[in-house]
Amino acid sequence: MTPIFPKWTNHIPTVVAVGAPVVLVSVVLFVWYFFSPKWTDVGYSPKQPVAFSHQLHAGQMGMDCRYCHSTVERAAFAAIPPTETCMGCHSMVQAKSPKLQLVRDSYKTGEPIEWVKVHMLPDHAHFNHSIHVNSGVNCASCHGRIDQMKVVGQAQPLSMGWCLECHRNPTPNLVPKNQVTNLGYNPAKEGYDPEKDPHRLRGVNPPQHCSGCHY
Amino acid sequence: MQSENNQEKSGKKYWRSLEELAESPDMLAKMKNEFPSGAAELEVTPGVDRRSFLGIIGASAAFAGMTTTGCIRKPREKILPYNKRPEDLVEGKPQYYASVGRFGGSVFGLLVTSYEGRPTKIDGNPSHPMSLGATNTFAQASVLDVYDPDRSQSVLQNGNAISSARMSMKALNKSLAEAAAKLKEIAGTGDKLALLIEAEPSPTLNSVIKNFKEQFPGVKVSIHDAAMRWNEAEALRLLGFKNAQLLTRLENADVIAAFDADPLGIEGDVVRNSKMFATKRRSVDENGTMSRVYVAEPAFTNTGAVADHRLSIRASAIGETLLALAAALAAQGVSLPQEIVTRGQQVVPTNASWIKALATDLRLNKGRSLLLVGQNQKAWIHGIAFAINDALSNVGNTLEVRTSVLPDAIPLSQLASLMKRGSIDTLVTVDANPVYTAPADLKFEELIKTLKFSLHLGYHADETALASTMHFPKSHFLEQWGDLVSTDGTAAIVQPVIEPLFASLSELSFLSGLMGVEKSSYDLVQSTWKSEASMNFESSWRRWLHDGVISSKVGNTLTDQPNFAGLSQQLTGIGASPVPTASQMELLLTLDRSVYDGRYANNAWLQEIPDTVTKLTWDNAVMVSPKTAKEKGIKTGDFVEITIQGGSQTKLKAAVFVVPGVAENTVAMALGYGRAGFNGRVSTGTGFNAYSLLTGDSHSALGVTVSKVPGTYELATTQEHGVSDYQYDTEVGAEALKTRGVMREVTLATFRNDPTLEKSFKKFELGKKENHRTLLWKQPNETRGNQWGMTIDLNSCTGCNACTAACQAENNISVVGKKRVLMSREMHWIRIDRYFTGNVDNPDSIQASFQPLACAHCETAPCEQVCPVAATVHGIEGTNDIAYNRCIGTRYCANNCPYKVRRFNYFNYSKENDEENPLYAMQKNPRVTVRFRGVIEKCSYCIQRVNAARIEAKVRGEEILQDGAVITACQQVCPTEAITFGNLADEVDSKVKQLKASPRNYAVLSELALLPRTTFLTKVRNTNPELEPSTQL
Repeated sequence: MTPIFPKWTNHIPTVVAVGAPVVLVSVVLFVWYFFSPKWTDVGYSPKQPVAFSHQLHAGQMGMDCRYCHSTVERAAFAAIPPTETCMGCHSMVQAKSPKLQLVRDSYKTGEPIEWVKVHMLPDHAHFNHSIHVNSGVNCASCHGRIDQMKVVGQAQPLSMGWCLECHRNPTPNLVPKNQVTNLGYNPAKEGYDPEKDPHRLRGVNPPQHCSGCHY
Repeated sequence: MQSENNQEKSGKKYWRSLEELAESPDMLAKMKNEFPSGAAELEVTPGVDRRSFLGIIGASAAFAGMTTTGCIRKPREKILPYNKRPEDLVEGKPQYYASVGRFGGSVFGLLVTSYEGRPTKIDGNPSHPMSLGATNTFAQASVLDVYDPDRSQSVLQNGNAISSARMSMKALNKSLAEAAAKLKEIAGTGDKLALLIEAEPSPTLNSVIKNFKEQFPGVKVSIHDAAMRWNEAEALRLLGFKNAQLLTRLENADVIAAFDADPLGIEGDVVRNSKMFATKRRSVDENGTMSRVYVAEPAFTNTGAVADHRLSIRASAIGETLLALAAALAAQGVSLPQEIVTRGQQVVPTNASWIKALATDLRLNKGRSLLLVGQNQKAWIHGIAFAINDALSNVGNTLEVRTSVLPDAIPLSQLASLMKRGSIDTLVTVDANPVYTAPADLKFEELIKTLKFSLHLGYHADETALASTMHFPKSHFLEQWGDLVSTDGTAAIVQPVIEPLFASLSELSFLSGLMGVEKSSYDLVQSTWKSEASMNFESSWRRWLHDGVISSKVGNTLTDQPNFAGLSQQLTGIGASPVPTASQMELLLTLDRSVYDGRYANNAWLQEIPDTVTKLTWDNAVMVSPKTAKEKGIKTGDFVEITIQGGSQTKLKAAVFVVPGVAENTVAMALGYGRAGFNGRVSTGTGFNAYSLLTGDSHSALGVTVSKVPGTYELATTQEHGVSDYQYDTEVGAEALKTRGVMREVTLATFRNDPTLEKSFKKFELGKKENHRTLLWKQPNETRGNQWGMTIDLNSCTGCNACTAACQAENNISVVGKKRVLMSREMHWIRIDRYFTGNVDNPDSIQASFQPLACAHCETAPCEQVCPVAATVHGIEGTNDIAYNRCIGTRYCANNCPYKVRRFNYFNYSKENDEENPLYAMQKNPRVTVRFRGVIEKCSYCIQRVNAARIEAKVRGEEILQDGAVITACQQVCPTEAITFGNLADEVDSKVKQLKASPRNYAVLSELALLPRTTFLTKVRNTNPELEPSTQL
């Protein structure tokens, strides 16, 4: 009597037993990584209407972040600077550069420059720059080494899990308040301990409950 | 009898509707369900059954899943920075501008919140004496009017837009110049010209009108405004005060008697009155004192609801009751003008004991009492009230006579007769809408169409705009400069916050334009006040704008002795009024608490706010008392036809709403609805036009026939939504209905005998916390840091709805429309439950009590226990939080909430609102997430304000917020300061912590041991022991 199933079918259970977990784990890992902001969002660096280089301005020339993002210590938004701020220098420096045509046009016509948003949070999450900067969170902790970027890209996933990692253990990201915009400052290397900082007026106590950010 | 027995057994009975009181089978069936009918069912478009609908959404969900999975990045968004950043502006930080507004007859100061140039919220200006930081529903909702998509956007010629393109300011000014030229040609010296304005007490408007009179010397000025106090002004004129008005000082009044008056509702300076009234109500403790309020009125008002003693009497009997009161006072030795006393002695009052008790109370509180008469009452009645106040030395203490800023003017009836005679052939109307609001017998629409030339300036292309030869769009008061003077003489500048959204004019530029001068309202206002500046005008001006008040007062207090001779003459020939019967009823027309005289009819927030008494949304109705309804065989929802007897024979078919507290054989109706002549997308299809019944200059009419006609109408009332004071025991059945002590009130005498209130309410309490053996859950009950809590003082709440409106503005709460209110799907985060008590067959025994209810933020919150996805969880500061994006819409939480305060977004209401009214999105508060379809929402304790305050404090280096650092929207607006919010764990005692220690403090449904963070302070009625029990509590 010829067998109903050919002999190779005897291997199916083994293949399934070994293969299924492998497939399952790979699917989980695939989704885990490739569907998460770590893959989808990190590295997003859209082309901007004006080829503004942070590497040149903040890096080589060493301009302080707050020269342009002047509201960062006072408000939720770090605020893209008004065209006026650009023209403060560029009415004299590189005043004829074709790369800055759009800026000069904007200044003349009053039409704003349409920058493309890089760091985007969902609408139900409220992030406030002022409290982070005033608590001594270095700009680079979230934005990466902006001073080394020719085109600004997203350096961190900005996901909720990533936020909470720091809210649960903020110390490694805290720097003295006067070093907040020093993107290269490494608190571990400098041996900085926020608990012993005399300039700190209160303890380190970031919110971890839902309504700390979601409202 | 049975219900009375029940009452004795289980305490006072509080009922929300007549059906609930009657314990009808329908009602009991409703109470068995967690939600009122419709609230939990799927709403499907007709033609699609439930099954196929589920199929459709299933397929679309799968499709959506395919396209929006993580592979695709978030949408590409743009950031458009300022080109030149305005001075003092920080992106994302609100700016506040002081201004002033006129709402329902009161002028009070405002603080307008603006985000990047967008006004989003209006609040009271704490340094303005008529506001003291509070506002009312009208002021709260008026910010939405800026973004009213139906606001007039173009010049109309004979009712048609002159161009289909969007109007520019240049084109508008061109049209104005043409109109001015034509006006000059037709009106000449103005002998046949009339100017019709609203009662706007503005010095700059007055000076513009003065110029107008110089240019057109023959012009007649007329005022037509629901807020115009003609009768009071006429009474004061009779007494020898020319161009005067009354200012009430409730802060000095220990006994207040209101006769058909509503000083805490919509008459006069309600915000200030409420604020001052509350100082004498909140103060009560076991040995403290409080004011006593007597009210005699034909239908419930806010004042009537808070009254300690209330008489239901018909509007036409107010005069004779007041005469009887005068006689009773004279009998007690108060010296009153002889003519009044003689008249009073002829009256046989039906409520002699009530009047006597009131007279005694007034006499004993000489100089600390106040008698008020409503604006619907005739001048002689106001005169008598003034005579009594004068005899009791109240004038100067609780009442002041002040000069009025309004220009000399004739009433609309006189203007109409001039028009009829042909003495007027040209009319300039500013702001007023007489075609809709004029008494029906004037036939104003026909009159205005007979004129040679008529001009209209208005915010909407309303009835008058369409009837006039030309109409010009008016700017919102947040868009133009102006000035206004309050009753107490405080002047303030109306400061614009935003450029006009559409080409439009202020009344000042409009009138100047008609005189051929193109002048901005800014220049006009400045030139008025130049002389008032002490030294440097520029710095004074800046100070006035910053403070929101001008340092010097306008007008003065008149202290002349009144002359009663003129009043006595008026009294001859006045006899007792006929008593209405079931066939010859009395009609009472009132201003509406939501739409006022109809001007707010296109405001979606106000339309959806449930009325104080009836809890009706989106409609008005014919209100009758249960007794009269029974006699006439009509019930809620029936149609009746109301016919006014006499020459005009005007008729109106409208729906009935049976509500206690209406005087017998009286039908009461609110004005302002049924605007068939105005095609607003919100106002269309709401209510019945009661103006068609308005005849003569009185808001009440005698000899009205009311007959039932076939058909029924659905009225969307929310009175039975939410929690009931009864508990329905499903196992035992209806017999087990018992009161649960949701609403608690005592008399002052009881409170003094039972200072801890234990005897009165112990049966509702679980006892000490340690004894809660039945608690299932471990209590989070943190005592460190900021622990938020709230108290609501039921003793000062007047049910005015301001908190509901403020919450709606602050928290981006959607409007759902009448159809969905009928399904109990309204979204208000704070609702005001109104309970009635008393015997329905005895209208004088009916009392109303209010309880504002929002999420109570329970420490052992039942909602948190049942959420399958932990979307609603406890915050460390004791708040009950929702993470909207976690919510999957099971509604288990709403089901498990004993207070029924959770609201579900059955559809994408916010998007629907924005699509229907495209400008509404501009009002949204950027600090609050706009909710999407399928999520639950509820009061968050204004967590956005808590977080903003916390961030500010942390930046300064503080962990604990100071008391008063966080003020919730409802607390901020409350004109009676009934709501207090603060830190319960405060080391220095916060105000809320002190209030929680009061013996009046109680938790609603405390037997459930939910430990809610919002608690209430028991209401206390200061009843007069002299009055027999039937009119007592």
